[in-house]
Amino acid sequence: MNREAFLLHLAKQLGRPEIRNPPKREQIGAPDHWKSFVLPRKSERVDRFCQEARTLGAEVHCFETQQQLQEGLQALLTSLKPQSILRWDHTECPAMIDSVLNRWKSRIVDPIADPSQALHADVGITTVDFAIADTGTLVLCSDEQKSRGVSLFPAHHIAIVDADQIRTRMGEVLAEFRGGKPPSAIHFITGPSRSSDIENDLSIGVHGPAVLHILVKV
Amino acid sequence: MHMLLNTDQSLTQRSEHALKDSFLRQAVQFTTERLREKKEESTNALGDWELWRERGRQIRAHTIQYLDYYLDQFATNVEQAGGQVYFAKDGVEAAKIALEIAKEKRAKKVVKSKSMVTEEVEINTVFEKEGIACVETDLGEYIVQLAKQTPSHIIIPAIHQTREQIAQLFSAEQGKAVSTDTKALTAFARQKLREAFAQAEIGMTGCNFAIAESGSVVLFSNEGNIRMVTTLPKTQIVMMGMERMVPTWEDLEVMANLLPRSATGQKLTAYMSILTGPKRSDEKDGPEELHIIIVDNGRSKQLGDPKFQAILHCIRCGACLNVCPVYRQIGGHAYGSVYPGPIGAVLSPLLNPEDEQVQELADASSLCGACYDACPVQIPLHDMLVYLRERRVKTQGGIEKVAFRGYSAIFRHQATFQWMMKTLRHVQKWSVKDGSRWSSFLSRLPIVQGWVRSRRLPYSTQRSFREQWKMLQKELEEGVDNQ
Repeated sequence: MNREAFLLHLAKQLGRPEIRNPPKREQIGAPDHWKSFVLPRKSERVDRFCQEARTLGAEVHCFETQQQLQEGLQALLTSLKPQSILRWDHTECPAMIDSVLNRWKSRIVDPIADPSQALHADVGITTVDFAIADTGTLVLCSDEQKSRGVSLFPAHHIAIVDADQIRTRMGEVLAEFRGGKPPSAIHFITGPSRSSDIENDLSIGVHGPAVLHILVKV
Repeated sequence: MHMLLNTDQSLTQRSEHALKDSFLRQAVQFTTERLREKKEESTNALGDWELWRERGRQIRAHTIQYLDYYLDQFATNVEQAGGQVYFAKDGVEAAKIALEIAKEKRAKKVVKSKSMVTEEVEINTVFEKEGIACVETDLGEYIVQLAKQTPSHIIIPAIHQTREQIAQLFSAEQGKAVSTDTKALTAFARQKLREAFAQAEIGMTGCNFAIAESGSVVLFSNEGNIRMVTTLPKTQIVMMGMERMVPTWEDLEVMANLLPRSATGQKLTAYMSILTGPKRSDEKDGPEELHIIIVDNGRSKQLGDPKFQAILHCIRCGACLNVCPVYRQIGGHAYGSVYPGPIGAVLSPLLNPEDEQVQELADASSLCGACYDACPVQIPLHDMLVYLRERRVKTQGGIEKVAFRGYSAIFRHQATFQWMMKTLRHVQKWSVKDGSRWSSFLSRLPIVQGWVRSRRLPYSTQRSFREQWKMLQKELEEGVDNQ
């Protein structure tokens, strides 16, 4: 059925002509009390974020300095002993991650050259675009340097968060996308992949990562 | 559109069958109770739940009232982002469009994430007839597919399967024994489906919400299968009921607060993906093509109908199933339709008005109204069930129509009513009483037999209220006189 006929039929059913201008609205979005919900201090947002993410089973580590975060990442990789690593190769991704990854260079997988190895990688390392304190959520946007699979295929996802990226609630993040052209994929990630489909028994790591490590630079 | 109905059995027969399955009943009761408790916990923690429900209703009601405008805006924005949009008036057309895309891509395998509308149009059957394999990738749906069954719950599709049955299905698939341990079962599905994700030419999803102002499709999942389906295959097909729209990004925040809490009691599912167009040309992964099929399939018949338009507000959370005293006893299969529970008892008859047998689903309710209280967007399902019953009696008639005509004639005048009640009371007193006498006769009497099988007849030897009132008044007058 063509679009015009389809839409005309709906208007007819609704008993009015087709509408060309945006219909008037009184209520848009969340209730007012929610829209004004903002944790004013950064430390509060960090605390809430960490607490919520931990409740859902994420491994959260906070670091005071860049140096400490690098050491933390190094220690984490040493303990995981990954055979294959995927990572976002975007320019913002601080040089410091690369300096840590130097030691693991030979294990970094190029997903274009070797897609099947990418699909079975052990560790995926990303930064984030935003984080949400209220739900302990990471927000990752795709672009030419930030591919979707890095936070999805590996058994372990390591996400590096800067405290300044943490907003109080989802609405603040959604507002960032208004107007312009949004990224092709925005993923809101809250805890590791899970399912209760077998006799209501919780199981972690179904299709996505089984372990979500979040390293926060406070 | 046909809805997988077991046409050889009536609702009563299917229910009786379900009632004899003690594992099913236990599993359904356990699952629904767990989901109900988790929902209550999470909505209490959020606070002001009634305020959220009301806002949810307002947004959904506005969107449906102006659905043509928002669909138009959505379609324009999808095209601007590089996607293609199709409109299908029914399931046959929707399936045909999807099949044409698959054929053009010479697809042999389609990986699917859970989608109720694709069940409606029976896309798996359509694809498989053409030799295209359809693989369900939600763990519960995968189990149900291997067992060649249909889902018994819209959120947790395989609650009727024991871990032993699941292990058997997986072992048969693998060609060697898979343990009954949840971890082992999950690991098997992860490994097996990963192969499918990598091989499939097409990824097919439903759509939880579509944002009109950006042309985005929003999908919620816990397992991550939807992310796989929308990352690996080169072509993505989205099939969505035309009512899935929300106008703006801001409205999505409300839906994201309502849906996961109502469905599973989660603050937010593990993944919420907002997808706009196919991958950009310089991106390393994601689908190269995005096709969005917008399906009517009986929905537009509800537009403009003051009794039923609100059914299109539904966000498919399944909360009404978990509180329904009927669903909790018989589970999903007894409904014999794609949509079980109270939502199914309303939606299935509405989407299939020409199918007489589906109409009886409106009887699968005690009209207690728990579904309305549980609904995150306040759909008055219990009222709709009454309207549907009324409609059915009006069109299909029969004994019920005659009975109600007589009932209304007697009720119209007080004198006839009183006379009739008095007569009936006497007849009952000297005959069947509360049904304990002459029970074998009653069990053969039409209409009555269904009632007396599990209940006593309403029976009172007392005088009516009016008679008592008269006597009371007399007593009062005498009492005053005595002083």
